[in-house]
Amino acid sequence: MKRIFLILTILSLFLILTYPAIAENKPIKIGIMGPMGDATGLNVLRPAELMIKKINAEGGLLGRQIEIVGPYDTKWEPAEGIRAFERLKAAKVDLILSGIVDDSEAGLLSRIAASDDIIYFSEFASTMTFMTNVKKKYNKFKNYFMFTPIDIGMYGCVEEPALMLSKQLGWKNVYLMREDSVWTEGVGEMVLNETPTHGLNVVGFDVIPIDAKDLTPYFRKAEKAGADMIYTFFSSFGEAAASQAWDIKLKIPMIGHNGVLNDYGYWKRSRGAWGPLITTSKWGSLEKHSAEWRDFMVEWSTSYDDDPRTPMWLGECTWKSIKAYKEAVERAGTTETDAVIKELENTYYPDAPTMGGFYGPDEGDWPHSWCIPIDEKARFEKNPKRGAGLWKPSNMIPLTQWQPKEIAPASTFLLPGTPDDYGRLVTIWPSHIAGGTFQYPPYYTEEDIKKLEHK
Amino acid sequence: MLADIIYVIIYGFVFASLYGIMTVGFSFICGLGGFYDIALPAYLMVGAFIYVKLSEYIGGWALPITVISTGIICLLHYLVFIKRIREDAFVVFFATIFIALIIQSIFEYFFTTSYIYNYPPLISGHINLLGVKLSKDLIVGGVIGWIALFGLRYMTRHTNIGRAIIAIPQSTLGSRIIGIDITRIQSFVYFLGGLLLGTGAYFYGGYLGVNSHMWSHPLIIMFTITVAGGLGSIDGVILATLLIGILEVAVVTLIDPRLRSVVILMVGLLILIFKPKGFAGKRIG
Repeated sequence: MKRIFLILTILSLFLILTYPAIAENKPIKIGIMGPMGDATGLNVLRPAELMIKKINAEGGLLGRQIEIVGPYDTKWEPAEGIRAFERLKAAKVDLILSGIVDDSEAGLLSRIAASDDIIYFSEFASTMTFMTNVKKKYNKFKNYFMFTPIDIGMYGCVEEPALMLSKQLGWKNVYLMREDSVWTEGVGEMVLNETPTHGLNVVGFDVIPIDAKDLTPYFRKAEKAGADMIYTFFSSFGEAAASQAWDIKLKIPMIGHNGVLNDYGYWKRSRGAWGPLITTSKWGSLEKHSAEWRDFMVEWSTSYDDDPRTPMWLGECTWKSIKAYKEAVERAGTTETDAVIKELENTYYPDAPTMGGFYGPDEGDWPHSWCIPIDEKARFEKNPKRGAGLWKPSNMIPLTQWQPKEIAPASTFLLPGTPDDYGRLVTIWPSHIAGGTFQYPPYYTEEDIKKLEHK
Repeated sequence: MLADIIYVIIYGFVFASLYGIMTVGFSFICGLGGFYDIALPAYLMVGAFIYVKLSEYIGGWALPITVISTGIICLLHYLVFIKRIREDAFVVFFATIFIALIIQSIFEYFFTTSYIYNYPPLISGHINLLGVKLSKDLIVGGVIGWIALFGLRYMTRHTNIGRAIIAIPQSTLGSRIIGIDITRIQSFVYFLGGLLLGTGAYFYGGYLGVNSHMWSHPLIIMFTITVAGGLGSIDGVILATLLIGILEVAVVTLIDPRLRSVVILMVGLLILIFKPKGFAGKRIG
């Protein structure tokens, strides 16, 4: 009996003494979830794989290797999202990178709040009401960060360039098309309520089912309504909309969010259907971006043989996520959740494709939302002044247009291996990263342009 | 309003012919066998992807290869799967659902669900017909569709194989007694149906884009037209494609595009309840 007691005591002492070393060397776990059957989930997985591989090769984070848990496929179903979250929680992950859409994330919020030992990064969702939770119940939701700008920003990045084009070209009549999903509800309301106060007319709108395949009837409605431009809030069928617009030679420019339209493979898949489409994308005119982002784009595009080889919406958010988490952990010197959250609240990337960063609970209405300083000059500082009333949701989301080689600026950066006759993705807004200007497709006659610009 | 009505009629005719190409083989197959082969729309998707991939390398020559290979694939589908289970309509129904879903999953794996593939029309440009802008390629599709439908109508009336296609649904036993080789006829119809699906795949995929879920709407269309037209009836198919084509464009144009599938399904449901033999055919089962 004495001997057993002695062995147990020695064993316990050994464990107590070696535990810190064991704990220090255990890997940091990053869980990945999202619809893995399509480009959405892969836009979380691929950048995470590339960045984590690099961090591990450089010695890890605080000397610890990073391990990916998952990816767990959530399809497009809320129940699968819950299941994936529970699996990642059971695996005791430190951080979750989530590519699920707003409809699914809505069902996860209470679980995220109840899991304060996990930091949750939302890469896809943009619903404003999710973020009011963080403001109102900070202690409950402090582990939730949204890397996509919320509705106000999503609206602003469409409205501001539209106003610019309206001023330049005289376009006044707006037709709203949004897909029928949670993320477009808030922005749709803003278009209907706020756009008329900016001197533009909303001449009609459509809420389009997400399984729609034929967009031409909606284009026809916009033509009949006399629209000068169409605001688009699409994710799932954006690509169909783009190629059909090209196919029917739509003569109304489309401005807005358009899902998978602007990944590298679009030009090949659509056989060069470019059209009057100005859509959010994070890798246009790479010559205007930071070397860090440009190098990452080169690395991504050369690391995979199939699409997505460049980011759609979430790809850049995931890149920022890993970068922000790594830097926050390094500054905090620990992976302990509260300490990392405090450091994440000091994140700001003026040179990210979508400029912005986070702040804490006492500095404004949108803590943990992707925000920028209201003062335009301060936006380009690495550490802009913080404090209540100084920040707003970021609307600095680049808008791009696919242009053929003959029309695009010659300086447009080409990813390695791009065929010479391939299309160029040109950023046309905001001005600090714009590589070119909006171009009319060849099927617009001089008469069409004259008519459109003199309305 | 007049412009809308002209638009509905013109586009209705064009769509009707495309739906006709896609459906007539399906209708013959279902009529001959007395079962519904749900996998056929999935082969429409297979044909469209064959065209997408081949046309990258050989341009428009991909079309004849697509048409023939879709025909061969449908023939193989019959010989490998359907021939063994054709006596039981329920088994065919469920087995072909499984086949269609397997095909969809395989295409999801290789092409994902999010990307849509497109290709330029073989004949580019548009014409203005009574104020309605129509792509020349789609017009050619419409013309080919109507020629195929009336060609098949001629075949069923004036050729032995055509008469056999009509005779078998009337009495399988009687057909056997008079020496009709049902397997041979069914193989021919699957091959023919495949050729038509391959043709339809080019035009349908060219108009709406090609992706791994593109077979679901054609399934609704093919099913409804077959139910409405009556199994195995070419006249029924012609009548039903016109009805569905024009109705669909009318709903989309005059009411709301979101109601497109609902209205088509309601037509199918009403016909199943009130006229189960369709306009001119045989009841299933």
